[in-house]
Amino acid sequence: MGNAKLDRASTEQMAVPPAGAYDKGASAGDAGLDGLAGAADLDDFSQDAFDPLADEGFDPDEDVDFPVADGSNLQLAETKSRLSAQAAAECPENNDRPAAERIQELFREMGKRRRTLLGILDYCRTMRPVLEVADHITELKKYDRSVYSPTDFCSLLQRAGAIERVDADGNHYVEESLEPEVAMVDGVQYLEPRTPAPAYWRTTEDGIAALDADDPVAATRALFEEDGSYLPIYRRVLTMCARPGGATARDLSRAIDGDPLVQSPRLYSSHFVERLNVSEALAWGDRVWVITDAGREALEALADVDDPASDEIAAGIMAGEE
Amino acid sequence: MMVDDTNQETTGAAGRVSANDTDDAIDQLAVLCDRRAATYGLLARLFRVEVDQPLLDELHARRYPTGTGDDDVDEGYRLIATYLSNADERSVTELAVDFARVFIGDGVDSYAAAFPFESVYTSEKRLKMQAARDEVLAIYHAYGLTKDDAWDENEDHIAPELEFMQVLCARTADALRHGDENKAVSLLRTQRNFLDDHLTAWVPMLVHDMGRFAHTDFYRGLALLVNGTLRQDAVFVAGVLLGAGTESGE
Repeated sequence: MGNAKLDRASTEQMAVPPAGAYDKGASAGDAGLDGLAGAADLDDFSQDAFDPLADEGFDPDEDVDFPVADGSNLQLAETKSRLSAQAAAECPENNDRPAAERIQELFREMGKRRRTLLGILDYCRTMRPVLEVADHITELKKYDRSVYSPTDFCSLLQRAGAIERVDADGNHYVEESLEPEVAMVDGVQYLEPRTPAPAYWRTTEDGIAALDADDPVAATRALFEEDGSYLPIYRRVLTMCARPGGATARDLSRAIDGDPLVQSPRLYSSHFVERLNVSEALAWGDRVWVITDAGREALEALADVDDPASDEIAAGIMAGEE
Repeated sequence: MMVDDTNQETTGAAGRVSANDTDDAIDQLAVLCDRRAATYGLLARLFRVEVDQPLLDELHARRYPTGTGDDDVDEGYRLIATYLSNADERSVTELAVDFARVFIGDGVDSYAAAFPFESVYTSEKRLKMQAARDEVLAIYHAYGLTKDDAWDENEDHIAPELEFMQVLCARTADALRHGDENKAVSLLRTQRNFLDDHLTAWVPMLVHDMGRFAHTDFYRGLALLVNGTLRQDAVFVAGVLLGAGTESGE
C-alpha cells in the first residue's frame, strides 16, 4: 500500500481507470456538445410543451451511476488538450500579422486599460529591468484596478510586438534551460537553484510608433463628433471634473442621470465618464474623477455648447478661485 | 489551518533515563522530529495555496538534498530545484495557473483534476465530505486541534492532514526534550496509525493524478516528493517504535 515507485515515466504509462458499466464509447460530454451543435433553431422551442417537473419515471431508490464518473472523460480531455495546444502552436495567425496591427487590436480590445498600456510603453522607451517594470505597472494600476497582473500586461504587449525582452546588452533575450548547481556542504551533496541572467523590457519601434501616435485630444474630438447630441452632457461632466478635488461618481450621477437628454435612450453618467476616460480626457484619482490636460482642451472646445448647469458650475469654480 | 486548543505544558522529569548515550539518542530523535515537522510544514504549505513571491524567493534560496535513499524524494527535489533554477518574474503566475490546473481543474466531473481530498480517493463516487473527512475530523479533535475558520476547505484536504503530522512531530520533539518518553511513544504511534490509515492510503493515488495534470516541474516534483516522503517517514516511525522497546511497535 503506497509503496509502488511512481516515477514520471511509469506515471504516464499507467492505465486510465477502467471504464464503468456506462461507457458509451464517446463521452457523455462529447455527445452533448455534438447534440447542441446540430440543435434546432430557438424558434422551434415551444415553452408550453416543456414541463420541467414532469415525471420521467425517476426511481429515487435506483442505484444510478453517472456516466461521467468512469474516468473515460479524463483521457479524452487530455487528448483534446494536447490537440488544441498543438493546433494553437501550428496556427500562424498571431505571429504573422504585422506588429502595428496586433498592437492596434490590443489597444482596441483593452480600451479600458489604455492608460496603463501606454504608461508601460512610455516607461520602457529605455530598457528597464523586468522587476522594475513590474513595480511601475503596480503603481500605474493604483487607480486603474485590473485583474491583469504586471506579468500579464507585459506578456500581452510582448505578444503584440509592442515590447521585447532583452538581455543586459540590449540583445534579444535567449531563454536557457538551467540545471541546478551541485554543492558540497560538510561533505554532503546538495542541489542549489541557479539564477537566470537578468532580463529587461524595451519598447519596440512599433510600440514607440503606437505611443507617439496616441493623441487624446484627437480621440476626444472624435468622440464629440460621434456623440454630438450629448455635447451638453460631456461639457457638464468635464466642468465638474475640472473643479478642485474633481468629482465623485455620486456627484456626476446626481448631475447627469435626471437630465432629459439621457432618458431615451436611457443612459447614465457612467456611460459618458467611461468614454471620456478611454479617450483620456478624464482620469480616476483617489476616489474621484479629475480632468486631464487633454480634457481641458476638450472643455475649451465645448465652451459654446449651451448648458446652464455647466455655466453655473463654472461660475462656482471661478468664484472659488477668486 | 490548524488551531491548537490544548494547553501544552511540561510533564516533568518522569521516566527520564540517565545514561548519556541514551540522552544523546533522545536528543537526536528530537532533532529529527523537528526536521520532520519542518518538512511536513513545507509540504502542507505547498498544497494549501499557490506559491507567492516571498515563498518562491525562500525556496530559491534553499539547498535541496540528493541521495536521500528514496528515488521519488531525490527526483522530486531535483525537479523542484530545476524549476527554481529557471524561475523569473513570470513564475508566480505560471505556478498559480498550474496549481489551478492540477487541483481545481476546469471540468465538471470528479476526474477533472487531482482533487486533494481523501474522501475523493476513498469514496466510491469520488465525492467530498465522506467518511474519511469525519474520521480525520474526530482525530484532530481528539488532539485538541480544529480547523481555522479562515480556511474554507474540508478537513481531509491533504494540507491539514500534513499539518496534523507537523503538529504531532513538533509535540513529539517537545515531549522528548522534556523527558516524557511515554508521551513521545504515544505520539509516534498516532503518527504511524495516521500514516497507515490515512495519508499513505490515498496520497499515492493523488500523486498519480498530479502527474497527469501538472505542466510544471515544480508540481510534478511536489507529487514525487510527498509520495517519497510519506513512504520514508512511515518506515522511519515504524523503526523508531520497534526500537522503543515493544516487539511489534504496539
